Amino acid sequence: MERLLVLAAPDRPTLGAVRHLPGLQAAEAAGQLWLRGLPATGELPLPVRALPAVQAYELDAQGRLFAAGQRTPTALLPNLTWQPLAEFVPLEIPTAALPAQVAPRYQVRLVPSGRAQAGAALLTTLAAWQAYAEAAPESRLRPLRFAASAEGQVLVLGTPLPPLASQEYWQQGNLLLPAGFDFEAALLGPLLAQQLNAEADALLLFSPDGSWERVPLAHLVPATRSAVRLTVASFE
Amino acid sequence: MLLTSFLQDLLATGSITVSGQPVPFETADLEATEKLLREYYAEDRLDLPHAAPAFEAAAALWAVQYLYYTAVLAVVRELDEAAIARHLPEFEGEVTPAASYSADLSLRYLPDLLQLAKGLAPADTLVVRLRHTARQWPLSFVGHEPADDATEATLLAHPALRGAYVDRIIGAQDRQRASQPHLAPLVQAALGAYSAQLWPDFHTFTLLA
Repeated sequence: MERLLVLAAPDRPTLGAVRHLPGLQAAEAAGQLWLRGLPATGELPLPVRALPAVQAYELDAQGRLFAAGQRTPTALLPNLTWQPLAEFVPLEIPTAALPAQVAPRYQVRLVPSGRAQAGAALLTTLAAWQAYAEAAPESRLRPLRFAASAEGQVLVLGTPLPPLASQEYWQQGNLLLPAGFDFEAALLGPLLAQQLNAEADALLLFSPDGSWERVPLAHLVPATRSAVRLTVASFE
Repeated sequence: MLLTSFLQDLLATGSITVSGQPVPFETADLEATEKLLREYYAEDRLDLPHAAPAFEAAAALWAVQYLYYTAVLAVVRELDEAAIARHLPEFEGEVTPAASYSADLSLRYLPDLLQLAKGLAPADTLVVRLRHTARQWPLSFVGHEPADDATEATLLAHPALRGAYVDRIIGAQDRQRASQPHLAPLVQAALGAYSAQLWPDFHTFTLLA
């Protein structure tokens, strides 16, 4: 004889308490939940006994159902589709009572600075850079390096800088900050350099609004007149 | 292809090999050398300020042969004055900006040979000949012999060559030239406000001049 329990369909969540017990199977029919796979003899496990069962049966080999302690069958086991309890009562990820808090990204802010810093770089247009390089003394080009962007902007580094109308930058490690600006906190410079450019293989070019872009060091080339002319030719 | 190989080695490695005795060059060799010089010119002109003068094949070919034979004559010391005059002729054309720059493609290497010749036999015929040439082609001899006034004036009249000449004076820190009244303002203009950085003692000797 095999023991079975019958529960009301709305009590399905209570089966979660016995979900961990091995061998249990369940099925649903006509608003009732059927549970089988219980030990044939002996006391049922405590979680099983705690289920809100509406009926307990013993099942014989012919599929006849006997009410507990009765010798006369009261029904036949209906044709059911049995499922392992782990499938019948699948797990659901609980919803947290409070939504998780996402740490806000820190917005880098630059503030006007009263500290005068020597210019180390400038950002100009390719046309202005070409016009300068066409006639500049070689001694003024030699200390410089430059990189051009696809948008036709040119970053020129070195000293002395060429006398061009441009945005000038001062250098703090591998960070280039617009002239007249500094970080709102002095410690931000080394921290940002570590966080944003751990490999130290690029310059970080900051705008006054705090946004920045990477300029890989490998993209900087010596400022020879031929390099400038060939760069201009590559844009034509 | 003696001359072509000579020029190729010079441009590629900076070292040269010359045969034991000066020999005339074959026409095909000269044609191949001219082609190589034209390619060299097209590349070199990109580093010249402003617009470079045109390529003048006659001057370029004369200069590369002059350089080759100077190397031979610096090594084969038993060649006499007649051999030097025969193999190191004057340039027969006019020394225009185009000729100056085209010849400079090879003559710029001549100062090193001049130093070598001075070391071997001070004031001998070859050295005298080279010093004369140096005065005629000042663009190629910055840092060495003083320039002939007329040829230097031609040079200074051309924006590209004037710029290159001043660049070389600064590069070689040629005090003798930089202190000349007609050159000092050009050098000063090129250095701008950064003379102390780019040529630290520039003001010292220009003020004393």
